[in-house]
Formats: sequence, structure tokens, C-alpha cells
Amino acid sequence: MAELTLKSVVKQYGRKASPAINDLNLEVGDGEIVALLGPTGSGKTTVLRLIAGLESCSEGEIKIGSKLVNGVQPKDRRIGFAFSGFALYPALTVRENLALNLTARRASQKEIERRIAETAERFGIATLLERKPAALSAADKLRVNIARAIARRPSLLLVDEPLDRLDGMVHVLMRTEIKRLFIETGLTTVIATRSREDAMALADRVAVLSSGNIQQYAAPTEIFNRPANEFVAKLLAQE
Amino acid sequence: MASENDNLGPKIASASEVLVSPESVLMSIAALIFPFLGVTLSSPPQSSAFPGIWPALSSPDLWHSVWLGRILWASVIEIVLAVGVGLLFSKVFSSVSRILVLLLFVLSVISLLCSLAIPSIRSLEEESVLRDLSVSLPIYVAAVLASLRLVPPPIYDAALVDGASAWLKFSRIMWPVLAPAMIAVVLSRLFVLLQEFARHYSLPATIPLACIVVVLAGMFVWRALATGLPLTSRLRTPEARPIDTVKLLEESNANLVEAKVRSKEGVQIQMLGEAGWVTLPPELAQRFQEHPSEKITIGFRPTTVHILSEPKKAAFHGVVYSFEPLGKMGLLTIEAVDGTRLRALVDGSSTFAINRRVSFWVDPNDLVFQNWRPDLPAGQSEETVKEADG
Repeated sequence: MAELTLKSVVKQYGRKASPAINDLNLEVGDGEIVALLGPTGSGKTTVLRLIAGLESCSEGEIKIGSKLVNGVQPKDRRIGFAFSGFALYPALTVRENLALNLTARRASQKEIERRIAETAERFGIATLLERKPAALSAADKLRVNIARAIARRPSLLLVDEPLDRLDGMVHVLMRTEIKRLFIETGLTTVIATRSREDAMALADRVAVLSSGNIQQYAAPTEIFNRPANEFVAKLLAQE
Repeated sequence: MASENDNLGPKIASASEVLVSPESVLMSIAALIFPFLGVTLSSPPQSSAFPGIWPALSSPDLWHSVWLGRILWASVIEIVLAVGVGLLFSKVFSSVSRILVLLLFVLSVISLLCSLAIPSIRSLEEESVLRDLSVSLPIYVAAVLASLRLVPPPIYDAALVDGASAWLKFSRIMWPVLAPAMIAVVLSRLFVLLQEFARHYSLPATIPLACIVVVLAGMFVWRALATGLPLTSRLRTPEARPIDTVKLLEESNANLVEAKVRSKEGVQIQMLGEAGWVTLPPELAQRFQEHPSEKITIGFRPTTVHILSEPKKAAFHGVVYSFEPLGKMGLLTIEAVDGTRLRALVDGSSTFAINRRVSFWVDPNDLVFQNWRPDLPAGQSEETVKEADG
């Protein structure tokens, strides 16, 4: 586990374009669950990609724990990333999806088997290990997506739109399930979501984003009861 | 919101699916017939009668035709070159890859025109794989690029975060997408070989038919071996369909618990593994009294569950499984002593720590669902049904 610090981070695509992320400051405590809440295009996914190292900062610093990670390769940042839309390797079975990171790190076969069994047990996917992603329900894909991110034992977990492909009661049930999993793992977690309910239900603190800026960063009830500005109030008022 | 079966990622056909799809069967028949039609319409003068299988196999002409068909050299070189050039174009020249493929086509046309105009180039090309490469490579590179575009960018990002090496990325992500296109390359080479073979012999009419039958039979056997499906089953491999989500939705429209009559005289029922008191509606209480030994399933909405501030004896007990603040309301999930999970809507300003012990009761007037097990018509006991059956 580790703290996460973003200090004056700017991301600009092209010199003449307006910044996608503009002077963003964010501090996430050790073991804390933080949700980035905002409409489409507000910069949530870009922030996650910057933290993961899939994009480079134009300016600013990103620290995971006490380590400055600007310029560090994604594989060396000790992060787990559960991508939006699941992004499971389509030709591989669930077992192979979980094992790829461990294989890449040249873990022993025994260690790989042990970790897969442990993760599958925790996520309730032991019976799905020999299936391919196309044969999984959306809820199971979500379980596998998060299990794959956690199997590598990261110090920081990034989750992009975890529930946007689930609806109805499955959405609510899976939200409960992943909330409990996040708490059980005790990982520092950053979740990007467009859903007010998901952000409030899953996070200890919520950062409301608009046009690459944080409008308010506080506990869910604080944001709900005392929105900092009109944008936050409108966002929380939407059904 | 996307549908349940949305899946980020290409729908990859397995090799067996490609080989036995109706399209490939039709293509195979056409490819096998056309060369032989060519023999009938314009038989070359050097054609000779088909001497039989073994003499044909030992004939130098056959092996010359194999060389001309270049199945070995050209297909290996084409696959390696097409994949290599395709990967290079997609990675290094992604923005101009289409222009580069077009350029390859233009070069191919120029090469053909040159070979027509200059006899020395023509003779050189006829005996080399150069002719095939110049014509087919642009097509195969285009096929590789099109296949690679099937892989969504987040999958490459996932591989980057996983620390996958270039070889792992190629073998686990790209090759499965490319394989069907490469199978098409090998098949087309096979047909070229058959075409060259047919040019050397005047074949009896039964031979093409026999070839088609053998190839089709081979495809079905391949499929049976690859999929484990019986030979007579349908051509397309059936997809596995998830069933748990529908089940989950069906059973979770309300909190559902098994309940059992505990006392015939009163209205006490046993559920959630404990004795609990519920003042049942008269109609339901009467049915309990008629069938005291039967189990029923009772459903109640989250608004039916009331959390008690202090534990009471005549109440249900459980621990907090999860709590989700949702603004003015909060969604509390309680795990009862028998493992049943119940959901209750509570005041959003309250907080509930996970694993905290809570007591609750259920408002019987809000019961939403009753289902008798076994499902017997009202006023009919299990015994009367047995008698009627007898």
C-alpha cells in the first residue's frame, strides 16, 4: 500500500490545444478509496493514465509512496489497472489472463498457480478459470478484470468506470461486492466514474472533476450536503 | 448503457471455425473447380493423361509444378513478410500505413507492367517467388493491418501495465487475431499448387469431384478433432451463454427468504435461521395454518426492513455486509445468521461499519411476494394431490 500525490499536474496534447488536465493537485492517503467523479471529457481517465504511466505529464509531479514516478515505466510502478470495458485478453482463458503479468515477471510456475488459486478464491471465479472472456457474463468480466489487476499485488489500484456496463440489480449487487473487495484488500484505490451513486457508494472521498480541474474534494456526505459550487450542485442533483 | 454481452475485444474465430465456415467451404469449392475448368477450356499442349497416383507422385513434372506453385517458399516468405511489414506499418507508420499499403499496390502494378514489356524480367519472374510476392504481398499486408485494427487500444495498454514483452504481446494478443488471415494465405497457396498440378495433366472428371469430397471430409474431421463436437452437428460452433446474471436478476428483485411455520396456533414463523415475530396478513396466516409443514419463500423490499437502534429479543439479527451512502439515503446490506443477505434503505446520514452487529425487523404489511413450495393450489393439501395422481 502507498499514498498517492499529484502536484500541479498538467497534461496538454499539442502546443496549441487547451490542457486536458490543468494544474491538478490530489492527495490520496494510504489505504484510502477515492473516486474521480465527472461528466464525459472531464479528464478522469486521463488522470488515471497519467498515474499509470500510460501518458506522460506535460508538467508537475506524481508520487506513489515517497517515490517520484515521472518517467518510470508502467510495469515498474507497482500499480494494478482495471480498464474500462474490461479489456481482457480475448484469446486467453481467465487463468492465462491472470497469469500474464506473473509470466512476464518470470515468476515460477508454482508461484503463478498459487497466486491464481488465491485470487480466484477471493473473487469467486475459481469455476471460470478455463473459460475465455467471450463466454463470461458482464458481472464475471468485471470480477476477472479487477482480479487481474490485484493478482500482481500492486501497491496502488486504479479502476476506470468499473460498473458502466452493468445495469439494474446486477449493477447494485456488483457495487456492493467490489466495495467489500476494495475494503478487504486494503489497497489505496482511485476509481474513475460518471455515476454519482457509484462514487458516493464506493469512495471514502470524492474528487469532482470538470475540464481537468478538481472542483471539490471531500467526503461523499460533505459533497452532497455542501457542494462547493454550482457545477458540483448540478452534478449531484442529476438523477 | 451497454448491453450485457458487450465485450471489449475482437471476436476471434478459431482455426477450425475459419476452415469449416460456410464461406470458406464455398470458397474452397470454387477454388478447386476453377483450375480444373481452366484445364477443360484451354488445356496446355504439354498436358498428358493422368497416369495414376503413384506415377504422378514420382513424376518430376509434379515436383516442378510444386516448385512453380511455390507453396513452401512463397507462403512462408509471404507470411513472415506480411506480418513483419504489417506490424511495422501499424506501429511505426500508423498514421500513414494506408498510404504505404497503396504504394505497395502501385509498385506491384508497375512490376507487372515491366514484366510484360521486358522479356528478360518476365522470364526471371516466372521462375522465382518474386512474381507472387509482388502481386500478393500488398493484399496480405492489408489483411494483417485490418486484423490488427480489431484489437482495441486498451488491450495493448493492459499488456503494457502487465509488463508483457514484445514476444508475449505478439504471441498472446496479436497472433490469435492474425491466425485466421494467415490460414487464408496458406489456403490460397494450396489452391495455386492444385492449379499448377492441373496444368500438367488432363484429369478425368471424377478427380476434381474426389478432391472436393476429400477436402470437405478433411475439414469436418479437422473440426471434430479441434472442437470435440460430433461430425453431424451444425457447422458453427455454439457459443457458451452466461446464465448466472438472469438468475441473479430474477431472484434479487426483492429480499427473498425461506420461511417456515413455527407455531400452528399463532402467526410466528421461522426464517433467517432464527425465530422471529411477524404479524402476517390474515390470508397468508390462514394458508400457514392449512399447511403448517410446508416451506414458503417470502420477499420484501428494502423499505420493509427496519433497523433497530437497540437489540431486541423478538427481532432478527445479522452483521453489516456493506454500507453504501447514496446522498439522502444509504443502502445497507445485512448478512443474517444463516448467510442470507438482506438489503435495506436507511437514512444517508447514518454510517454502518462493516461486520457491525445489527438487529432488525420486517414490516409484514409490505411483504411483496409469497411462493409456496411445493406449488399447490389453494385449499388443496399435498395428500389430495397424491390421491389425484394415484
